[in-house]
Amino acid sequence: MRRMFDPADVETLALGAGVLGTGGGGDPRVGALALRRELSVNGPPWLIDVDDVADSAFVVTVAMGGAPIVGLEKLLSDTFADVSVRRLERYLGRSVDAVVPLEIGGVNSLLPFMVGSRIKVPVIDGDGMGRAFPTLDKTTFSIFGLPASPLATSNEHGDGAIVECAANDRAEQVSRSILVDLGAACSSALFPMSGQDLKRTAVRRTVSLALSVGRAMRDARRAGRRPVDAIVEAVQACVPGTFAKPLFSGKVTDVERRITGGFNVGRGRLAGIEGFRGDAEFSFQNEYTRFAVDGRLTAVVPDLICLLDTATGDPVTCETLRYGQRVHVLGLSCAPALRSAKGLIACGPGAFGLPERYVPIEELNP
Amino acid sequence: MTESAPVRLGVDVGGTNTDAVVLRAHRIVGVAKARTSADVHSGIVAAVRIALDAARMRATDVAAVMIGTTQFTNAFVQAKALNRVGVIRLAYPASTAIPPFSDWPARLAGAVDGGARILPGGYEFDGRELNGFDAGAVRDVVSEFAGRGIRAVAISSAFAPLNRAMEDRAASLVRERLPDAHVSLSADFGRIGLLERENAAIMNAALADVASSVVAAYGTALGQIGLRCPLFISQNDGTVMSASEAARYPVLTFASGPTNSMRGAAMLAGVGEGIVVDIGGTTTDVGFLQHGFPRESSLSVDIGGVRTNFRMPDILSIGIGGGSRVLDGPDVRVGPDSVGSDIVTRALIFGGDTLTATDVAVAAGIADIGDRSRVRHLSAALIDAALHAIRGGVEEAIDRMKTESASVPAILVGGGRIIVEGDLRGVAPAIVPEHYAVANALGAAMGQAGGETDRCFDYERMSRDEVLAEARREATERAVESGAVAATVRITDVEEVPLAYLPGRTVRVRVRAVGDMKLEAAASRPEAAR
Repeated sequence: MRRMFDPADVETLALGAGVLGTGGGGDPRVGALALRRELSVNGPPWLIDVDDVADSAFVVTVAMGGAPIVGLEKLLSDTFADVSVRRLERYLGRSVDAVVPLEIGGVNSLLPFMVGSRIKVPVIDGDGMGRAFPTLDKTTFSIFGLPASPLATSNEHGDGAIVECAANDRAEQVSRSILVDLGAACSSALFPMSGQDLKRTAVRRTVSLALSVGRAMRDARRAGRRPVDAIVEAVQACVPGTFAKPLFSGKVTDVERRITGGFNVGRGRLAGIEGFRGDAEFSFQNEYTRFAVDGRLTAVVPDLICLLDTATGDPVTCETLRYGQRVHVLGLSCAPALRSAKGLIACGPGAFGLPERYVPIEELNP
Repeated sequence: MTESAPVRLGVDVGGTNTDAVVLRAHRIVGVAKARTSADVHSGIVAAVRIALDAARMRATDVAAVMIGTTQFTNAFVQAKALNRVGVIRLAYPASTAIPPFSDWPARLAGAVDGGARILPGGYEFDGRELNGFDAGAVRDVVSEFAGRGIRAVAISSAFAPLNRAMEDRAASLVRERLPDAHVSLSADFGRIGLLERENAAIMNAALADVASSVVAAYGTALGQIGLRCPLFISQNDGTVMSASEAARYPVLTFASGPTNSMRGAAMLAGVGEGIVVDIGGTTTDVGFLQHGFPRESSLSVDIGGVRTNFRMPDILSIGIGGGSRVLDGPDVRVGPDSVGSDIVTRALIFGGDTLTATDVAVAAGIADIGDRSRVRHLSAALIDAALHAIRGGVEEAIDRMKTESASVPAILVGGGRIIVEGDLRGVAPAIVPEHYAVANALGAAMGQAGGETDRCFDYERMSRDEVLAEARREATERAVESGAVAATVRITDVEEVPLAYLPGRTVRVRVRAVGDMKLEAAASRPEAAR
């Protein structure tokens, strides 16, 4: 299916991506402001299904890289809508036919639409995670063996580099040190792949999912319903068979966080409210990674743990969560690809230093 | 001793009432409440006259006047008499996808946007220049602003909190061409976060004319009463600035109201740590006191829909106050609709036809104002349900503001305080101090002098102890420069932000110092001095 992306949906997408970003992905507000402007100048791009892409098509992902604090000062350059894609095209001698989001959550779920608008190519309704994660190895593209290289990265001056590494973790390491030299807020084009590769690796319909979640939240607020209940219905309608359930409602009684190796790492506790009894505890590493009630595990990565403020319904990020805040905790099953043996090595509990063995969320909550 | 102690006069100009408090040696000797007048200054004159009479003092006894005001916030939010602002952002080619005013509501942008340009300049996170400063380009834009009659300019640059040199250079070029223009620099306001910091600078520039006329009107009002002492205006961190500084930095008064009422409450109750619950006519503001000052918000704050990140007290505001409407039904609701200052005509107890929170409190017998016979018909079930809703809302707000689950002292102040009585969950003790209705004006009167240092240090070149000692010394010196008595200055805040991805060990250190205002008793001051 092929439809025009509706410019009125920018905030809806940002809101839904905020939920599926499971506490990470950063503030999508800057991305939403930039996208709204881009669409008003260059018009909306098409949104197409993964299966409608030709096998021979040339597809890339686009993403922002660097340090979040630098992004707060340098915002987004207007050139980020095409500079790195053009660099990669020049290097490979091919024109890009479509862009696919790397992840759903924060600015990276909005940047592909800026690119689609600027260079007039469709955006693919899917991504490489079905959620947000902090590193490239935690993508289905990487899990299924696609190389992230050659990747192109560029700063606001148009200065940049092509990185080619055999292994994706090396590509990430090398490009990170280049990013620092380039000023630590860069756009990148990566995972150059064929349409056939895309069909083999991408998580399907995740842009549609983020849009339905965002719409359901907005409608629920208008109707005076709890957004968390509306999200459960929207997820089950959009991706039948997905497990979706409110796991807990609680008041934050403790949060401790520290910055380790560039990650925002920590844990916290909730005391039950609104009919939930007992104490819950959670861990995070940029995104929420683990949730347990009275010592019993109820959700763990790569399944999704989403926190929503009970008063506003807004998703609560790991960075802004604080004592006294009241939250609904929503658990969603992740894309099946992340539960494969290779998927769990890349983004299961062990990849985040958690001691647990992975148990699917539907088995933890029968 | 007491007779020669300096007398301070604190004034709170609110939307409904103008309150005044006369203080001698930290003791309240006179209080007054008057209606805020449309012209503002006659309300000030009335309140100050009554307060001085109550204190049996003459205007010449007063050593300093401190005014807390919401006028600048209101003028901005209502887009009243704002300047059109020309904006120069030094960051090109970064940030170009999000020009200035991108996140402003159309109504305010329409009133303020006088043209915005993104020019070469700014810094990288590690101090390198993002792009060279282009004096010619700045001059061209300033000429264009001048040609269009722009007289207020805001300047921002990438990483100005780490290095403000380019903003200063651009400001001097603006003044070369437009010597009378008001110039606001982002470095004077927020912290990291270009868009929010730039917004604060634009708001400040937009208020330039309002600020100079309001400050002049205050001077006129005080002159009419015969007050010839220095005038200070409350900032939102519990310190004051001189009248001339307030005319230059009006945004620093935003949210000074809640700050003043929290500081006043702390003094009235003799408590430095705990919760303050300020119940007004429409809302209840809950804040947390640390060392007698409100805890600062770590999040961005929206003002009239414009996001900023300058220092603000961390306040949780809920829609429950003395004038809140009570809706009867299967689910009794209190607020957020309120009759506000019309309570004196619209509440049942004052002969009106609207059931308010205050009516319920009178019916329940916890307050005794107005005509109680007019609320006799209210059912016990309705009264109970409404009081339960009020108490539940206030208790939840208190719980959200606490940092730990143990009970903390809570101080209840504000004109609407009468709608809550007795113990509150999570609170021990609940304190209702004398003069609770004028905590705000008292907080203004108690305004202190502050100083801050905020810069980057390399912990490999100096030890952490040396760095902190140096930063404390700088902040203390600045507090004394702005009028603090050296012996009373203490450090109220130390913040270290390691810039982890930088080579070396660069840390951004922000230290804040405050002390009591140095005031001369009126008697020892030459009569003509101002």
